[in-house]
Amino acid sequence: MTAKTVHKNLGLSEMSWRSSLGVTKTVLIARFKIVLRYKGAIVFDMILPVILAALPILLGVAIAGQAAAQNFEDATGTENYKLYMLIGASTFIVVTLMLWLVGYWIRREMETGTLESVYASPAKRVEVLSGVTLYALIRSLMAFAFAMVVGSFIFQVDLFQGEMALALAFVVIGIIPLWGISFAFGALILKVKEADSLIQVMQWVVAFFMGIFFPITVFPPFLRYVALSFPPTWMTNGVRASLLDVAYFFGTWYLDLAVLLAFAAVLPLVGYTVFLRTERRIKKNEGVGQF
Amino acid sequence: MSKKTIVEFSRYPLSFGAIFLQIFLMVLMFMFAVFAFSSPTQALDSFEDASLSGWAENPLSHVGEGEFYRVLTGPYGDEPSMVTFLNLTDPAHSYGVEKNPEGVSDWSAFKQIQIGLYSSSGTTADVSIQLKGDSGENGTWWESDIVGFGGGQDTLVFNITDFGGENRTLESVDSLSIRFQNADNGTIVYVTQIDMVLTPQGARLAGVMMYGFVIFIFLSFILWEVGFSIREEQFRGTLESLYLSPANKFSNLISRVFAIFMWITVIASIALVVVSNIAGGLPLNNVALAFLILFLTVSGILGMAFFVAGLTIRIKESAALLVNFLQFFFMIFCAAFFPFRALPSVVVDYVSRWIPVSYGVDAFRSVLIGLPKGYPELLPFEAEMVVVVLFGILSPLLGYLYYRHSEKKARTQGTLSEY
Amino acid sequence: MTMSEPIIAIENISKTFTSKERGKGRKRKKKVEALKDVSLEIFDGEVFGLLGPNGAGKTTLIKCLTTLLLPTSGTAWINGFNLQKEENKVRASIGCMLMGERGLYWKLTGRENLDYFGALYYIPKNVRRERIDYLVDLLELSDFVDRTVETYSSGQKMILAFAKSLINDAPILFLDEPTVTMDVHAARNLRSIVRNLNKEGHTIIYTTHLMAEADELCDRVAIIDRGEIIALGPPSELKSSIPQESVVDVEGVIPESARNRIVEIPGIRTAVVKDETNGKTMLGIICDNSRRVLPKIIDVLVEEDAIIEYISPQEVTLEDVFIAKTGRSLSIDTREIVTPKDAGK
Repeated sequence: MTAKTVHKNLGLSEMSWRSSLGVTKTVLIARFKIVLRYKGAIVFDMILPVILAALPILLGVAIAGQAAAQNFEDATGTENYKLYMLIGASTFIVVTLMLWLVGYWIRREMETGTLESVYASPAKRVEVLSGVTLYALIRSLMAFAFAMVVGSFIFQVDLFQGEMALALAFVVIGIIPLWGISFAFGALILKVKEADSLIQVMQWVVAFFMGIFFPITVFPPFLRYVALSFPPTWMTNGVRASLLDVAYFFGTWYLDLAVLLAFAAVLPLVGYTVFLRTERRIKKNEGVGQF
Repeated sequence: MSKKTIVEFSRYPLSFGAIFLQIFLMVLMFMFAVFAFSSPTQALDSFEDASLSGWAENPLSHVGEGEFYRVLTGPYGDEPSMVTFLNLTDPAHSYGVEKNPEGVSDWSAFKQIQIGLYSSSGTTADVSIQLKGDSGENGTWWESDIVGFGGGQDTLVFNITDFGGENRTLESVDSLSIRFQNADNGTIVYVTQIDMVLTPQGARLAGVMMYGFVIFIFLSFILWEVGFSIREEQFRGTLESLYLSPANKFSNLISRVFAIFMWITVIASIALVVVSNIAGGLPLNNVALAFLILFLTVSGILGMAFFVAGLTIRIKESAALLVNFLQFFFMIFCAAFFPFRALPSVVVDYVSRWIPVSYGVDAFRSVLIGLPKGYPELLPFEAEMVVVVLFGILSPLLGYLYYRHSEKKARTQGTLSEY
Repeated sequence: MTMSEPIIAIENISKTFTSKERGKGRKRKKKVEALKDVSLEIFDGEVFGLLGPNGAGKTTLIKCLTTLLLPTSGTAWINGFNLQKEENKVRASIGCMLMGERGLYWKLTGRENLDYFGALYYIPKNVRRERIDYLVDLLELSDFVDRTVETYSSGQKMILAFAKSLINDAPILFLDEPTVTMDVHAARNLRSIVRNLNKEGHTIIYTTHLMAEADELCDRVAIIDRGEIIALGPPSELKSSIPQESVVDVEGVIPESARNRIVEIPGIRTAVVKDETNGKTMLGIICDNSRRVLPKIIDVLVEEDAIIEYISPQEVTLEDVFIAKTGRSLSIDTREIVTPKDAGK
């Protein structure tokens, strides 16, 4: 196949690994600039888990009084219900941020009208996506860490107990399948008109199933299997089990971590495939920029 | 009532359902969290906690692990049957449901008692139990149906709901007697186990949460629909054309609100049925009075929403933020999904008590759960009713006046369609 | 001007949209052909105008050429690269302004927006900085370039969007209705910049619904209607394809019946409503010889009780070319006929 037109130049574009990195870096920085200009957005990320955790804690004490800790231990294996709730709420913010920042990404760029501009540029998807992903990762880990620290201060709980490193491993590995889920979810969002409503509901459905306030053993068997098929459930329980006396689903940390690793190996591939297919579908049908 | 609005809503089931579902899931999560804080059964660990009278003897023997009572069954002398009394004298170990520091039980009540019996095989007896405890009517003895015991090792189950044929729950049990009838003369039966089974059935807290939820749903939707829709129309540019049309814009607003009420009623009913199934029945008392309170509270909330609508004409861009914030604010400080005592008392005294909606929430759910001890939490019921009535009448008036005021101001300044 | 070699070669591009229609309970698939086998060459160094009513397929064509939309069949060569096989190089070869004032990050400043998109075009950081400074000077952005875009007027957003399309200094420039929300002065400025860019050697593809603008700016235009190119050539050539003195414009209150009768007058090819406001109608009539049919037109109008405010033979414009070819006015929205999703800008 020979070109049927003249070739002049590529303007100012210089394709190199440095400019590829530049795309990722620029996207990352721009995202942070944008969010920092929404007053309070970042602070809200960090405060929300503390408020979320506070409610069941207050509720538990109000209901069970002195017996709260003892009963909680009977039900979950740990009497440290404060840290239990704090972990649940902090993991939840990681999940919800990933859903919003990664899953909603295409949709949001469509709504602001910037997706066309991004897609008309020669930057590769992977480079742009890396920027977006890094941004989501940093923001959600920041929120997680901050919420845990502030929460431990407010609720007077000691974070430094159990296996800290293992807990961190559960968080970091748990985020990887989330990335994949977010993309698959992002594809779904594109099909729905009222996308933000859907994502609002989804985050609470997720919160419900991952057991941010309670052990999923309270579910009837069917709901329990639904919950177990969802990686954040393993992530939350993993963190809890490594810090507190909560049982691992499979009894030992390495089996639970292995399940999470399996999710981490498979789901990003699935997610990215779904993403590429979605992208192609958009370009075939209505075209980038329409929604 | 505008038919068009109703249709419009049914076309966007997600937007409407989304707010609802979110809140509903949140309530469910709290409810499950409470499950984790309440132990499902209470077994009497040591029989030493109880003193016995009648024909039973104090623990004498040990069969394997654990202690047990040896009971002589009748008939004995003139008595047709033998009765064993168990007085749970030590309050620290009495069979009581979890109580908060104020001595009020929110969550569970006894619904069932399981008694393990052991005897040589071949022994038969008809067993029933009597209970005295706190069911709101102290001092009454409640008697169970008769359950047959066929000897050997068996666990007999007595349901408190059966007592007297009424749907009852007990919050604590002070005394328990076991009656053996038609038993072989002088047989020895060992009582090996007494478990009080706490079930979430008839859960008062589920009522507290769900009824609070109903009010909150009204609040949330009214705030968005009345408070925020103005802002949205400003944004869409339809506000000015609405003003140009001769139709009364206020009646337009009202018709939208009624359409929403219809939807809330439908969806909230579904939610109540779902939770009622999970919790095994919600307490339901004095529905008529509850509806009156709901009506007044919603009327008051409408007034607040007019006020917010007036504000949104002015504050423009931050309107969504304001409504979001208000929603969160009311959820927490009006204790929508939990009893007020879950909040620190400082918060209740300095914030909750100053919000009229709090009294609506408190009165509404207290009436529906049957005004048990400890409810309503903020004021005596009569006093709360006064607040609710005043709120229901004054708030819409004041809110509407403010709305007209800021609307007029916006029109004189020509900022109606600005955004 | 030498227009020897093509820089864009479009070969048989077709685009069919399938949309699901919800009608009477049943879902039906509706196929709409937005582009029908379009072939076209655009020469290196020309300003090429794409004209047509809304929904004619202009935007669909541009979206296909900028890789935002996959054609159903056919291909194109742009700057020596194949549209489907060398997407990234195609993208690097063009600068585009497509969504008007949308397509900018409102929470970023103008400068940050330019820098962001510069990075997406793989422009090294130092080059990017210089280029932005240059564009700020060229387009007189300095007053607002360091404010966030949300504070801009729509004219300012448009000019920034224009700057964005120039960020990579690409040999080919796609401008989709760039002057649409600009005031007269700003639009004139933009056109003169476009002309200068063209002199520097850039090829420019320009869509507009303003015939005068196309007439003034473009070396060649293509008129698209219902997915097909119905006329192609320099504006002057297109205009001379219809005889002079063949256009009559009538303005006033003209009843429907009058319009129907006018078309039946011998020597009249077509009569089309060009504009309709406040009950007044602007009727464009194309005929063989206006001097000859003018009396007959007036007769009919008088008989039908029309109120004539203005009637006169006109210079031929590009719009008349369109009317002569299609029997319809440009202002008529053909979105219904083509596809609702392809609403042209």
